[in-house]
This record gives sequence, structure tokens and C-alpha cells, in this order.
Amino acid sequence: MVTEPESGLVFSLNDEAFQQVVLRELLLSEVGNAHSQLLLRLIGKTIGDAQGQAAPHSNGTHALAVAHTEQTDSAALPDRSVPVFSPEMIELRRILLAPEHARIAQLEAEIAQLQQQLMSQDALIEILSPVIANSIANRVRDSRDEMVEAFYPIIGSSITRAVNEAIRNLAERIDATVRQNLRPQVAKRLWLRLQGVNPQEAMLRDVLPFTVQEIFLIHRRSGLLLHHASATGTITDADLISGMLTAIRSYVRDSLGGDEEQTLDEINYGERQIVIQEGSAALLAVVLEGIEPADFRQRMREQLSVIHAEFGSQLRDYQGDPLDPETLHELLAPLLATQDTIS
Amino acid sequence: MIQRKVCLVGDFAVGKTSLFSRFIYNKFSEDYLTTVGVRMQRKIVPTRGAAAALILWDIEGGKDGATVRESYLDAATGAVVVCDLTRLTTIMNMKNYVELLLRVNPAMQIVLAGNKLDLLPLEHAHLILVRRVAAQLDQLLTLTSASTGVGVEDMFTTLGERLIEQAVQQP
Repeated sequence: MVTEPESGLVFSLNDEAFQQVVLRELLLSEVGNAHSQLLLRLIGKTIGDAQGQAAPHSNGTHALAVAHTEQTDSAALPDRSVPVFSPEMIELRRILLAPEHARIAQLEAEIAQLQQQLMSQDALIEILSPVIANSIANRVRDSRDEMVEAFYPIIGSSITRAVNEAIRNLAERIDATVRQNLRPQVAKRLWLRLQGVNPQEAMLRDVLPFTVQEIFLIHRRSGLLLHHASATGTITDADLISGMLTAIRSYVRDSLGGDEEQTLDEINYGERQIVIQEGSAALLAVVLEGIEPADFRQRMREQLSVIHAEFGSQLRDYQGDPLDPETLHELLAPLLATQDTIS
Repeated sequence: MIQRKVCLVGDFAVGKTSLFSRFIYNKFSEDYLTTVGVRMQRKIVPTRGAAAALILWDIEGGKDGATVRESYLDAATGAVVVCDLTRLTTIMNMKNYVELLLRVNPAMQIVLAGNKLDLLPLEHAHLILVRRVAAQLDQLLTLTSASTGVGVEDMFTTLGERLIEQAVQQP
């Protein structure tokens, strides 16, 4: 509501007649040009038709008075049956809203452009990549711990594997050097130095973590499981594992060629490896984690020889009848007990 | 427990894996998935006197008659030679597989399995033929359907029993 204190006139902003008057006032204040004159006539006609009098005035106060008259005399209100979109009104609207139309057209063009950019992946990447890069950089900086937690499962195992690989290489390098010069402790150190091996590295080699998890004694030809010793107790289908290991070995030998001597003697998976040592009738497959001691294969060979000596004929003609499990357990237990120790 | 290595051999798509799945899991699938290499499973069969664990090697099918990776058959004591009763060549090829198996192990216990019985009418000529082939090879024939389960359990149990009998006879 607008109140004019002196005259005490009250106008409602919703009052159509009032709006028209205000409109005229606005136009008059702007104009002097032909459009405004035309408009003025149109409005004057509309209002004049309704009131049966009143020519347009350039005086704002008078115009307000006209509005006042209209409000007090309801019979003098403009006929509401006059079509809102009469040609004059459309013309009026066009002229009045010209800047808005121009603005809308401009916005529409902008929206179309944006839509096009959204549809095209390349354009979208172009727009988003600086934003995303910045936000990731900020996120990493602000919540380092959260990011580490999120990424660890993805990259952790790869890093572990890579480190293991590196250590294994180091170990093998040292082993190769040490193997050439087996001397008692003091002499060995001196010898290591002479050979260019750092004694500290050699000592590090001796303390690398290592555990034996499973031992399978497998009949070489049939793949049947002769004995299984486990440190974890989690394996329930040891006989299938032994069969599959044998089949994989056969497959590799058959497919890649090579004679009986050339066999698969190691399988790496994740942080574990299966070390396979073959005897004439049986083979020993050991699942271990970490880096095996330098003499581990030697000890596997020794145990395998003992087993062959003990069960010789039974192993050669083995068809699946059980061998004495206690004896086998006794023979394999020393390998299973090998934990982080080295001579 | 006594364990025995048993191989399933035969031409491709005769139903070796289906017989294997029916016997081990009592399941059958219409989908055909070719076996690559070998599939392995263990099943304990009750036999007269003792139970025996059969370590079944379901070996990938041969493409044209007994082209089996022989190393897979090494030291097997039992075998099932499977044919597809609806395909004549697979019936005829059984001879090659039997010869191969006996060459690997002359004491091999063999059972012939005429599979996909459910797809044939009772008096089909192939049924007469397969019996004749079995008689010629002097091997036990079982007619099976992995789809309906007919004959599958019996076939493996029979083989298990034979393997145990063989074990008893040998010192």
C-alpha cells in the first residue's frame, strides 16, 4: 500500500488502473519520441474508453487523482472484458519488454552453448578438469589421513609386492655371493668384505621375515596327495590343490616344451610363493610367505631324499593307498617349523 | 583313506563336465562351457567294505579322437570314457580313448558312458551300435543322462567298487 500523507489518498499496488497510470507517468518522463506518443494514445484510449472522459495528462499529480477517482467510483473502472492481448497491447508489450527479450535471447544462446558443452565429453573435461584438479589437491592437503585410508587398499598391496620383489632381488644377489664362499663366521665376514658384500647387508639377509604355511607331499605322476602339513589349518581341499599343481606343471611342460628336467619349480602369487622341489617319485610343494632362507631348498631336497629312502617302493608303485602318516609327519615337521630362523 | 585318480575323457561336448557336475554337485546346466585344461574334484564313494575317495580329473575334450594331453592321464587307475549317444563319431572314437588309456596303464579300470540318453528314443540305432562297440572293446557300458541324472551315480559307484576290488586283489 502506498499512502500519500497530504491528500490522504490510498492506492493499492494491485489496482490495475493505478498500474496503468504509473505506466503512463513513466513513459512520459522518458519520452518525447514517437513510440511513447503512440503508447500514450493507446493508454489514453483504454482509460478514456473506460471513464468516458479524461485525456492523457503529463501531470503526475493529476494522474494520481484520476486513479483516486477510479478507485472511489467502481462504475468507472476499465472494462475487464477488454482483451488483454489486443494488437495494441501486444505492440505495447513488445516495446516495453524489448530489453528483456533481448536479454532472454542472449540467455537462451548461453544456455544452448552450455548444453552443447555438457553434451560433449571433451568440452566438459576442458571445463571441469582445472576445478577437479584443484579440489583434489585441496582435499588431499586438508584430509591427508582420510586420503591415505582410501588409497591404501588400492596401492598398498602393489607397494608391498614391489618391496618384496626388491628385497627378494637383494637377497638373491647376496645369496649368490655368499654361496661362493662358505667360511666360518669371522672368516666369512672378512671374506664378504673382500667379495664386496656389505656384512650388514648379509646380516639383514639373515633376519628377513619368512614363514612356512603349507607343505604338500605329492605323488609326482598321479598328483595324488601323499601328505599335507599346515601351519595355518585353513586349507580343506589339499588333495585338489596337489592335483591342480601337478596338472599345471604338466601343462606348462607340455605347452612350453622342454624335457623332464625343465619344470615349474616356483609359483609366486601376491606375497606368497609356492616352492616346488621334485624327487624321482614324489615332489614337495611348500607355500611360504616372505623370503626363504638361502639353504631352504637344500633342506627340502634333503627331506625329500629321506622320504624316498623310507618309502621307496611304495612311492614308485603308488596308486592311492595311504602311507604311514605319522612317519611322514615326522619327516616333514622340521620344514614346517622353519620360522624366521637360519643357520 | 584309499584314494584313486580317475580321469574323464572323450570328445568335446559329449558331457564330461556335465557328468562330473551331476555326480559331484547333483547339478545340471544347459549352458555349454568348454573345459580348458582340467577341472578337479574329489568325491567319496561308498563301496563294499571300504570307502574310496575318487580324485576326478575332468579333462578337456579331444577335438578329433583321442587328442588328450597324456600327462594328465599319468598314473590314473580309473577312467570314464564318455560319448554322446546322439553323435556317431563320438561313439566310434571311444575305441581310440580306450586304447590310449590301456597304453598309459594296462591295468586301468575303464567304464564307458553313453551320455545324453534322454535325447534318444528307446530303440534308436545308436543304442545298438554303442552296445556293440562296448562289447568289441570288452569294456563295461553304462547309459547315462547328466541332464536327468539317470545312471550317473551308478556308473561312478561301479567304477569305485572295481577300483577297490582291484586294490584288494593286488598285494
